[in-house]
Amino acid sequence: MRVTNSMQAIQIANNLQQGESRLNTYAQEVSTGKQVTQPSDNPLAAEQILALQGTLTQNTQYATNISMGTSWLSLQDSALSTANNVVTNAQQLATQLSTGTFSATDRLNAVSQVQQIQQELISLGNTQVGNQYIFGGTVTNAPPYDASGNYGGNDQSISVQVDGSTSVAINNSGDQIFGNTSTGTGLMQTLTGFITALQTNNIPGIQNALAGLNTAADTLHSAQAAVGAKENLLTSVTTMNNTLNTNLQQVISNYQDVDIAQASSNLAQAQTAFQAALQSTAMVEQLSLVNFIS
Amino acid sequence: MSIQGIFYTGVSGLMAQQVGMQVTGENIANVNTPGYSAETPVFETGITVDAGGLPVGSGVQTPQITRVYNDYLQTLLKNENSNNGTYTAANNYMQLVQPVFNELAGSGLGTSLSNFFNAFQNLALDPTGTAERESVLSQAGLLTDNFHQISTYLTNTQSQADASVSAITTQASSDLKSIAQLNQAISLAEAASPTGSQPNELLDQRELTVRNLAQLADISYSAQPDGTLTITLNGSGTTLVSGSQYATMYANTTGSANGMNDVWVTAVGNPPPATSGGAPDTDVTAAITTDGLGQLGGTLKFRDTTAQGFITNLNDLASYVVNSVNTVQTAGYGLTGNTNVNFFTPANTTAANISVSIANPDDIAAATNNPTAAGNGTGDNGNALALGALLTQNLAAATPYGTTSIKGFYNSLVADVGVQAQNASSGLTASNNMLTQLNTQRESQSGVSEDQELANMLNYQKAFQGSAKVISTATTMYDTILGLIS
Repeated sequence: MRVTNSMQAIQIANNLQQGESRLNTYAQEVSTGKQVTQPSDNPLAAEQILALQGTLTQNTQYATNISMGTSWLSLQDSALSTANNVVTNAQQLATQLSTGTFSATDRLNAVSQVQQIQQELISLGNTQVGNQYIFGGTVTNAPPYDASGNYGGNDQSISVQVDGSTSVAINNSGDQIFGNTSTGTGLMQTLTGFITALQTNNIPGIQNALAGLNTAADTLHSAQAAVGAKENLLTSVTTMNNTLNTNLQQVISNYQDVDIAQASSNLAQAQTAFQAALQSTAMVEQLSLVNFIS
Repeated sequence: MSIQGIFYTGVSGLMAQQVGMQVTGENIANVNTPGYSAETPVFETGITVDAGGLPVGSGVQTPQITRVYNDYLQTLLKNENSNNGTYTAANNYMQLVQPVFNELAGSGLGTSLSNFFNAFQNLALDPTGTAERESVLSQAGLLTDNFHQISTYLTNTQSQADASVSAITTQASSDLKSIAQLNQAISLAEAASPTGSQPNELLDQRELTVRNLAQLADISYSAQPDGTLTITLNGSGTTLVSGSQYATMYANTTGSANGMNDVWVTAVGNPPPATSGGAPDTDVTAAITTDGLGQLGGTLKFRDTTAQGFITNLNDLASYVVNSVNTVQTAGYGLTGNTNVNFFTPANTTAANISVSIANPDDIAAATNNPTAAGNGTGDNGNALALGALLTQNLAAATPYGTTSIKGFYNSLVADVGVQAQNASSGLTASNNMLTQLNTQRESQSGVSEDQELANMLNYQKAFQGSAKVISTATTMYDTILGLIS
C-alpha cells in the first residue's frame, strides 16, 4: 500500500482517538465502580436494574408497613395478656364469693373491686398506638368504650401490605374480645351481671358470672394465640424481606458494578497501549527525507 | 541535425524539469489540503526529426498533469458520508435526550412515581394522619412537576431538531451553488485546453463538495460529457444541480401537518427562482424521511419518529397515572365522607398538562367505606392500600410495551431510550471507522507523500542540472566551431 502523509495523519489520529476512548471508558469504570452508568451502556441490564431497584424500594415500604403491623400486634398482645390477668382475678373473686362462707355484706363490699376490674378492662379496650385506638375496628380516632362499657367501634378490619401478595389484618375488634354493654354481650355484660348479682346477693347469678368469665378467658386466650401467630408471620416475613433485599442488592451489583480487578487491569493495559501508540507516533513522525537533504 | 537542435533539446529538458518542480511544489504545498489529489506531470518524448537520415528525438514535452481519481471510492465515500450524517444527527440528539431518563443515577421520574405511590402506602398506615395526607399531595406535586419538566425538555429537543432542519438546508443550498459554479469553471477549462488536460484542482474541490453535501443529504451524482456533474436527491429524484444551474433547498412551515418545518426544493436555475413555499417548488420531506439518510434524514427521523415516540409514550404514562389513580380514588371515601372526588384533573392526561385537582387533603380517599356513616370508621385504609398498589399492578389495557404496570411501562421507556441511544452511538462508531478506512484508502491512492515528492524533487533537480550542462556543452561546441573561423 502506498503510504502518504495525510493517510498517516488520519490513521494516527484515529488510533490515538481509539486509544484515548478506551482509556476513558476504563478510567470511568474504575472511578465510578459501575459498568452501567447510563441506559445506553446496556439497555437490557438497565431495565433489569430499574425493575430490581423498584422492588427494593417496595421492600423498604413493606418493611415500614411490617413494623407498623408489629407494633399494633405486640401492643394487642400485651393488652390481652394484662386482660387475662385481670379476668383471672375476677374468676377467683367469683369462685370465692359464690360459696356460702361469705356474707351478703362481703359481697356488697366486693362490688367496688369488680367495678375496678371492669374499668381496667375498659381502659385496656381503649389502648392506643400513637393516636390510633387499636380495638375499635376502623373507628381509630375515638375511644371505642365509654365508662359503662358501651362499644362505639365497628367490626371492620385494618390491613397492611407486608409483601407483594400478602396483606395482614392487624386489628381485633374490641366487642369480640371485651364484649359490649349496650348489646348485652361478652365480658362487659358478664361483669355488669356480676356486679348486679353481688349487689343483690344472688349466688346463682354469681355462678352464672363465673361461667361467663370462664368463656371470656377462653376468648382472650384464643385471641392472644391468633395475635401471636400473626406476630410470628410478620417476623418470618421480615426475615424474608431482609434476605430478599440482600439478594436484590447482590443481583443489582452483578448487573451494575464492575469487577474492579478486571477493570483496573484493563485500565493498566489501555494505558500501556496508549503510551506505546504515542511513542511510536512520535518516532515515525520524525522520519522524513527532509532531514537528509542538505 | 544541428547544434541548435541540441540547444532546443536541452531547453525542452529544462522546461520539463521546471514543470516537474512546479508540480512537486504544488503537491508539497497541498499536503494537508482536504480533498487534494497528488498530481503527476506526464512526460513524453518530443516528435522525432530527421537528422541526416537518422530519426532523432527532439527532447521532452509535458502535454498534461494527471491525478489519481477512483470514482468507485468516491461513490463509497459519498454513501458512507450520508450514512455518517444520519448517525451523527441521531447520536447528537440521543445524547441530549438520554440524561433526562437516566434513572440509574437514582433520581428522576421513576423515583417520583415510587415516592408518590409509597405516600399512599404510608397513608394506609395512618389514614387520619394530617402529615400522611399532606405528603401524598406534595409527592403528587413533585410528580406532576417532573412530568412537565421532561415533557418540556423533550419538546425543546424536538424544536431544536426542527430548527436545525433549516440550518442544514441552508448549508446544502450553499454546497449546491458551489457545485454549479465549479461545473461551469470545469466545463470552460476543459473546452479551452488544447490537449484536453483536466483542471485537477477544480475537480478535487468539486468532489470534496459532493462528499460534504452527501453528509447533509442523500444524493446521487452523474458525470456529463461536457465535464459537469448532475446532482439529484435520492428518494424523490429531484434535480438539484444540472450544469451551471442549481436549486435552493429550504425549510418552510406552510402547510406542514405538524406545524414544523417541511423541506422544499425550488426548480434549478442560475440563479434559481425565488422560494415560494408552495408549488411549483417540490416538498421533499416525505421522501427524505423515508430515505432517512444524511443529517437531514437523521434529523427529520429524530424529530418525527424518535422524539415524537418518546413524547407519545410519556403522555401515555401520564394518562395511565391520571386514569388509574382517579378510578380508584373516586370509588373511595375521604376523611369527611366525600366521595367521587378526582385526584388528577381528568381532562389533563398528557405529560405537559397533568395536574392535581384535589385541594383538600381530607378528600384523599383512603377509606373503602364512608367513614362518617354509622358503623364505619376513619381508620378504614382499604382504598389507600388499593391506591398504593397501582404502581406495580398490571394496567387493564395492553400498553405499547405490552401488558405491564405503570412502573414496568416507565422502565421499558427508559430501556427504549437506552436502546436508541446505543444504536445511534454504535452506528456512529461503525460509520466513523468505515469512513476512516475509506479515507485512508483514498489518501493512500490520491494523497501526497512528502518523501516521494522530495525524491522526485531531487530527480528533477539532477535532470535540470543535466539539461543545463547539455546547453553549456553545446555552447562550448559552438564556440569551438566559431574559433575555426577566426
